[in-house]
Amino acid sequence: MTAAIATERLTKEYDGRRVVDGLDLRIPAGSVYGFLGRNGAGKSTTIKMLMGMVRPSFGRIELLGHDLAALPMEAKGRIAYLAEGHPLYGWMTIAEAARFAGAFHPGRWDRAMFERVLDHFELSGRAKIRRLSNGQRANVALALAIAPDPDLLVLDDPTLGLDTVARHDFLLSMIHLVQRRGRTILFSSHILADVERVADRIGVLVNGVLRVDCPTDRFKEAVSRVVLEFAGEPPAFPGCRGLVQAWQVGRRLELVVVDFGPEQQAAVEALGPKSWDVAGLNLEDAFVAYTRGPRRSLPLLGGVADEAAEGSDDRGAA
Amino acid sequence: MIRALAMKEWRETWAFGALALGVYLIYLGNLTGLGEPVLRSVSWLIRGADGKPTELPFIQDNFASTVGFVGCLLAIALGFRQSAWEPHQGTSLYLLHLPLPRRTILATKVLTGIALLLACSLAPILLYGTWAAWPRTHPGPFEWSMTDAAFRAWAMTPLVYLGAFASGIRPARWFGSRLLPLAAAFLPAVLTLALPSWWLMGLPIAALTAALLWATIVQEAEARDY
Repeated sequence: MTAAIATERLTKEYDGRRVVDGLDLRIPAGSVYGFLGRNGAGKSTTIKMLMGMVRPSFGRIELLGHDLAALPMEAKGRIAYLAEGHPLYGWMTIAEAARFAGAFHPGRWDRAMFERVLDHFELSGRAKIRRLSNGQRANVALALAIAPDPDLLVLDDPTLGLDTVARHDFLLSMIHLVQRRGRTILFSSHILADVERVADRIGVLVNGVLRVDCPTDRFKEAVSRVVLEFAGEPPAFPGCRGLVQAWQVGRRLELVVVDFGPEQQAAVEALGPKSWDVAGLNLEDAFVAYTRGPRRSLPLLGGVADEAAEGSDDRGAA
Repeated sequence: MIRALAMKEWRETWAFGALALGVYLIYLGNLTGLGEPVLRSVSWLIRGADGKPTELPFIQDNFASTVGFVGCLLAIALGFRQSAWEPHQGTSLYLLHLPLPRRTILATKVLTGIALLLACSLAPILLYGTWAAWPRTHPGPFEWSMTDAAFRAWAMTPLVYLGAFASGIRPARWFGSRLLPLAAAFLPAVLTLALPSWWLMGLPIAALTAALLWATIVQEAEARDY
């Protein structure tokens, strides 16, 4: 399958610190790709590099089959980019913003569709952009981005700063208006529910490194939590293939493992626990397990939390 | 496309030009004695705008230096507005993603800014010159060659504009170091005013400085992160 976006060892360093580290990304044409990561994981920097706004320290980028360094303007016109915060010219009215954007896409600008979107959101073309709410502004930015019928749509944290209702409306718009056959969408977010509703494939960036790149359903199925109970102090877990995290909570040892199978089961049983149990994780828990470092929740409550505070000890995070 | 971009720049900057024109008109009102008393009474608030009618226009007044001074202020305001404002507002991400080469976007910005700057600063020279050339408006003689110093000052303002633009587009940790291109533009700008032969020395220096500043702007715009 052809890739709408392909990167090769994409790296960005700021003052010697790697914020994106050797990223090999391949997003198939026609897919909706959710790009996940915590704040500061490198999502925005990666997207800015893809859009030519930040120069990579190293590596190569291909968009719609063209090297980014030699991207023809015709191909650039088929790529829409919604930057974080939906930057638009506040002094323009919505109609002026549409005329301005439309001038750069002669022959591709779908004015009727743009006006339908405005009608749908009950927005007047005469409204000044600076007077719109964040949610309205996001919808206008989305309408402006899709009016030229782009083949690739890149959205950098499009729901950031929106309240629950505005976020819901925006995602519905994305589902109904944006997705069309053959169109590739890359959107970054740190809100799991957003990604789960829209993306058919996800990538998880942790400290600039792509730790996960697979179909969304596969990610949910593959990650499990294994809880081992011991009579006394748990032994250190020696590690196994697919281990994401391991930590001790009192007399329990908890593991997060990808593709738990016979090999991992043997490693668990070799420790001789009193009992052990394996449970699937939802997307949010799986994401947290992947992206959280050794730090655990603060023991704010008594009881179990105190026990956790005494015995919590992260071991062997993969 | 370029027309849409130029119109956007014009819409964002015309107010600066209108303000400069207003100052020039107050000044001209004083110089020619045609100004409204109310405007004359506030002209002392603006440095250089409280001129008095003279027998020899352009020679006995400080018209050229006022054109240069107000033109430089306008050039600095326009240069920073057109370069630093967009990254500050985040709109450069939108602007630079438009399907136009980055160099074309920059050139459109710069040419629109220079056109507005030159038009605003040319208006008072032509108005004052026309008034001076009109019979019986003042006691002394008038030749258009008397406007040379004013035209030199006018022609120097794009250098200051380019210096301000280069400073605005340049990310720098310290504000002082960010202003280096603007500071560097001032010396050749003053030289173009002071050197005796403008066509042989002033113009080449101005052209060379403009080319260097343009190269700096393009290089900075291509290399910097947004």
